[in-house]
Amino acid sequence: MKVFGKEIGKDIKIPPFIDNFFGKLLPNKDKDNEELVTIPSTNISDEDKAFELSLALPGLDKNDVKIEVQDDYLIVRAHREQTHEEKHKNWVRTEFVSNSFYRAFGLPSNADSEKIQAKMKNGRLDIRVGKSDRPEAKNRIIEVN
Amino acid sequence: MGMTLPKVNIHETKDAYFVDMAVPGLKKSDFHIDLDNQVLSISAEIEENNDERQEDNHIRREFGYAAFKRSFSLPKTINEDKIKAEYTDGVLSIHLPKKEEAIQKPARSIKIS
Repeated sequence: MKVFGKEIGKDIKIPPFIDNFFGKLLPNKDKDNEELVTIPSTNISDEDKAFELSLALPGLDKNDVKIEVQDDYLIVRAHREQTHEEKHKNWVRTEFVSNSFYRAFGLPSNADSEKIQAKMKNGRLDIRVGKSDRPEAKNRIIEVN
Repeated sequence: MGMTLPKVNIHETKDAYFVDMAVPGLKKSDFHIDLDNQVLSISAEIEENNDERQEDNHIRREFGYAAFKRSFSLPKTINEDKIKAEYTDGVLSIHLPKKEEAIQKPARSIKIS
């Protein structure tokens, strides 16, 4: 079938129900001076008194995480140094990178940056951003419990 | 099938394979690991009861693990009796040791007599 003059449908691969054990690798695994950064998957919900965010940071714990507020942005940085042994493992299949994460969220005008709390368990970071009537922009660093 | 299929990293050493599955926010008891006819299946069935958030309050939803199952056909060289797993920092790590005969022996030089 042609769409805008291009043949489509011939190269579609249906993913197998059972995956191959050996598979594709993410790029750059072997380079010492380059590093992949992952943008963490995030769930955000708008509750009555606060915004609730959950970030998926598998492989990390709260000591690896830094959260800050800069102007109107909530910035989450998480990093764990990989040992030399970890960098040079014999990879057979890679689908995720778990040593470096970064994501910035624009705070809505009714978010109160004074009312931010964070906790982390089992690789999931939960951040609660309280709401206020009067928006204020301030730079702060938030502790993770 | 859940919303997201968790991702895995697999690496190999001289005597084992390691499967790391990224599934943050669950507990050890949520997982089932089964082995059947050389197929390794990792699954979880979770009720999102600890999450009091209502469905309609979600602004953004990029991950969620209501239930999932991923299966892998294993190489024949794995010793199925010795498979171990642990769950740390949101990563389910499965250790699959190789059978004795599959462990690579170091290269030997052969003398010519």
